[in-house]
Amino acid sequence: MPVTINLICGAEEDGQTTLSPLIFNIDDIKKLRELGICGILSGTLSSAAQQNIFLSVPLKLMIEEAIWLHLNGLAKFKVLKGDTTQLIEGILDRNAYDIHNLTKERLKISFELQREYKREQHRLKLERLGIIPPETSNETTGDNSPNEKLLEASLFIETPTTSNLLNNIHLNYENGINDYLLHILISQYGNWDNYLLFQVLKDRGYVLAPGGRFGGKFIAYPGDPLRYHSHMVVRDALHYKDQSLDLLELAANARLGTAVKKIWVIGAPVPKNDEMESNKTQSKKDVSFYSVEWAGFG
Amino acid sequence: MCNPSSKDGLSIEYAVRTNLAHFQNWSDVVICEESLEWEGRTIKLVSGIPSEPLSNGETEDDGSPSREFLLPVSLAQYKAESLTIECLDHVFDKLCNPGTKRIILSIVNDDGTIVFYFMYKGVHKPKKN
Repeated sequence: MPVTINLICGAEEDGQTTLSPLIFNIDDIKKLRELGICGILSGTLSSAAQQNIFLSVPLKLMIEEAIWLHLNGLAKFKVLKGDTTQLIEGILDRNAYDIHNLTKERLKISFELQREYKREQHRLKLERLGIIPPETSNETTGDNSPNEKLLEASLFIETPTTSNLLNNIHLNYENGINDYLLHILISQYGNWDNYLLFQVLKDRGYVLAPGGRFGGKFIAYPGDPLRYHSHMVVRDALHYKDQSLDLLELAANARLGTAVKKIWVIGAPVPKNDEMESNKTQSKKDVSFYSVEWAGFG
Repeated sequence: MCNPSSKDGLSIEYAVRTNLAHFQNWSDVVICEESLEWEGRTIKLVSGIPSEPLSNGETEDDGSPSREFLLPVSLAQYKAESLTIECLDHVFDKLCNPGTKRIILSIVNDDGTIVFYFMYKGVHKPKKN
């Protein structure tokens, strides 16, 4: 069962739609984690935005991850049009009455269940202490008002961590739109060569994450990021024939890499002579990689 | 990778050889015979034996350091020498023994400093340190 990637249409820049791939479903996130697709949790508490460790759904994917999942048949796309905040505000405006009643109803049920449980616990306690005979009904122990007040004060209101609000507001879409979305993702995404690097490393079992922290395109872990330190900082794809290495950039990155126990990896897809440019999205190219680190002297 | 016009004593291969032999205390340092013509330049490797095993280096059976191969490149201050991935592929194919895992990139600056970087073919684990 493929997971659902929600594509949020962002502000149009230069007439181009930008799409952010987001995952809202916890089970989908678990499934992806097992596939070595980790993404970045990006939901935050506005009151504690700096506490990154508590970030929650949605999970934001790299464009490469979304494309890889789709090309491997592991995900399908759904489009959420526009700003999600506005979208939810719209739903709240339209359905405020229903949502209010539903919430009230749920709360009532929850309170009733809690009351029942607490009365039963209270009765059992009195029984154990020998204050009342066994099998006394709840009514006889529960209706004195001071107890009842205490009980009302102890009821919990649960704030749910998930919501079904967004489930039914995806755009209607026809067959074939997934390919169209893939096309937008790819065209939005300037450098197809970077995807080829991603694909080769992913298929070799590395888990990739955005590399900005270490001045690269990706960082690569040999397994789950919670179990391993990353091994490699991967540079933006180079052009095989035309792009020469900047030696100062090499020195800067290889030195930094050595200081943080990583190796700096550069790669370029090897062009094949008989290849049509228009056919490039589906082709599996060879990528020539080199790994650079300080030699320890000089 | 030397400028074809430079004399032996001024070539970057010679600079790397001198640095290794007299500054890093390497032994048996030679400029390799094999050369590769690449975009108007002649690329030659330098090879030698380190005074002690390198931090991530291979060793012989008796623990002594094994022979290393170095690729000299010049870091002209405003004109970086063109070193493409294609060029590196050719160096590994034509100048190195089959199965060579890595060479040492030797960046020769015009102020006399030379810095050394391991360059592994393919994706390689970082050294343990």
